[in-house]
Amino acid sequence: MKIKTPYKILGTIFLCLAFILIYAPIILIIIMSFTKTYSLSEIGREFSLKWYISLFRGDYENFDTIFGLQYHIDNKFISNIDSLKVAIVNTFLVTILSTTISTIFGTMFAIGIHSFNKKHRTFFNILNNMPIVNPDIVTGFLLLLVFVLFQTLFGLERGMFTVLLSHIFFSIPYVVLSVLPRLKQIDENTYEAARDLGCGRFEAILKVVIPAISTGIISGAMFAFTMSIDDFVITMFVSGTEYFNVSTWIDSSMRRGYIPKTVYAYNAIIFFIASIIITFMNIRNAKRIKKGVLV
Amino acid sequence: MNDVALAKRANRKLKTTKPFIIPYLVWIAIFLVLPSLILIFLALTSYDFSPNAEFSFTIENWKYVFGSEYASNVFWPAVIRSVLISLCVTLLCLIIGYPVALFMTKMNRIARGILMAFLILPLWCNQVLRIVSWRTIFEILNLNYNEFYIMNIIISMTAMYLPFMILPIYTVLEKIDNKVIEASYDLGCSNAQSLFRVVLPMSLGGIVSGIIMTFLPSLTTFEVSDAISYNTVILVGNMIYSRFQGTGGYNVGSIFSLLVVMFTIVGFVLILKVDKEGETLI
Repeated sequence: MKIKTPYKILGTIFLCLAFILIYAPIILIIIMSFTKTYSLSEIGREFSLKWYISLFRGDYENFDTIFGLQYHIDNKFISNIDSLKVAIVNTFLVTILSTTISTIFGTMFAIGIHSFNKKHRTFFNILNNMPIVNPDIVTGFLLLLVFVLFQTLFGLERGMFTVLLSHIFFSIPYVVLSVLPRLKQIDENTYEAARDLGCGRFEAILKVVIPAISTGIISGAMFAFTMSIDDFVITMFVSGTEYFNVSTWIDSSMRRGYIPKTVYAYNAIIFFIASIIITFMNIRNAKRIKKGVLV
Repeated sequence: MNDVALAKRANRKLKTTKPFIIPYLVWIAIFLVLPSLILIFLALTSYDFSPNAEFSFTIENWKYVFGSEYASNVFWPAVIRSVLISLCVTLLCLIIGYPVALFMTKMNRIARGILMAFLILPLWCNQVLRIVSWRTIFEILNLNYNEFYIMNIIISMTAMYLPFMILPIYTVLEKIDNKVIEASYDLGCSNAQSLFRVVLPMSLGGIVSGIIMTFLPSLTTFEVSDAISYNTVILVGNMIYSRFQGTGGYNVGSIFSLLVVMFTIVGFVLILKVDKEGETLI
């Protein structure tokens, strides 16, 4: 169907508006990361890479002596930029672990849910959607209550482990939700054929079902990764006092009154890497569509 | 085929993977059902996990939330303010997001893929930093003053949650068969009639999911008003969050959370009305 020119113009205007709204803060983050000073009037004037260097080299200028700010981690006080590095490592560790674990278990649960009839499936779907629909603050509060209970009962301290459990908790539903529609599309006879030809149950799932639903698993893992790397509210609730990820680190810096620009550089780098990956994926997709491989 | 062979056949179907969900149910029981019970328990009692906490059923906390000076000065104004702000945000997201999703479905596959990817890409940039940069933008635009705080909050929330409105609507719109739309033209519909009588009703599931995915988060965030208004505009999220920071606030915090859960339940009922299996959330 062809659309008429006025609608095209209108559509383009809305698209531009959406992209301006979504990208305005990101463009500012990138500009700020390349600007030497903190002063707003000088944004974009003095080009400098010092924030990027400070990310790899340690304290570029000794902010702690200027602002008197320190972080308390592992029972000792460490400098600002060092604590940012700890936060970055923390973030990636938890994100990678929780993405891997939740992808494996989410796929398994999706296969399990799929084997039920429609009525029961709806019930499990509701159960699964609960953490997605529930606002972060309620999920965070609920998880905090569990961990406070565990602390009272077993003496489990809040820290990286509780954060990891929480991230797995809110990631699994996204994986399940991405995998289920794919499962509906597969031909179940292939699984039975694999069993008839001598595969065990797990072998058949690994060799026949998993490859058939791989796109769903990949998009589920992407969702889990995106949600986990950016999480703030839930981590805030369950992290205790000595664990920081990048989001909670920025938040606590904000409350102290200033945010070291090194973190802008870090975010810009993440954004560049993600853009490159996405561009390559799109080029590959476009080639496959043109060849007619992907219909 | 004899019975044994039949049983063997049945055992080879993919439908035999039901036991896979047992760990899932245990997991849900520990991390969803158990805390929900604790939440209700805390809301009804005076117990708050502190070492010497005594335990007795009480409605004092409910009185405090709904019928004290605190209620009339802080609680109700914050609830009303939050609901109004999130309604504004949801409406703005819908007004901007629906045309964008519709426009995207009219493009070729390659362009659609690229736009979709670049809508999700911003989520990789840290959300707290994004909010802080909105504050910087308002500073640059000379809008970072008391009287503009509400507007600033609405703008930055709209920008934050817009992708979550576009995504589900786009997913539903993409599935609509073009032949249906062509048929509506053949039967004499104008562009507007085709949109309002055919496309819009068919995309209702996506709209409802989008509304829920933007309304509930914007109702409950605390970081936006924290950063944008320097914690001067108190919203529902700020009330819950401040309860968790200090000690002994768990009981009142639980009551607040239960109220938010009621909104969630309303959302669920709506989703199940338009989407029987509840699969169009993302």
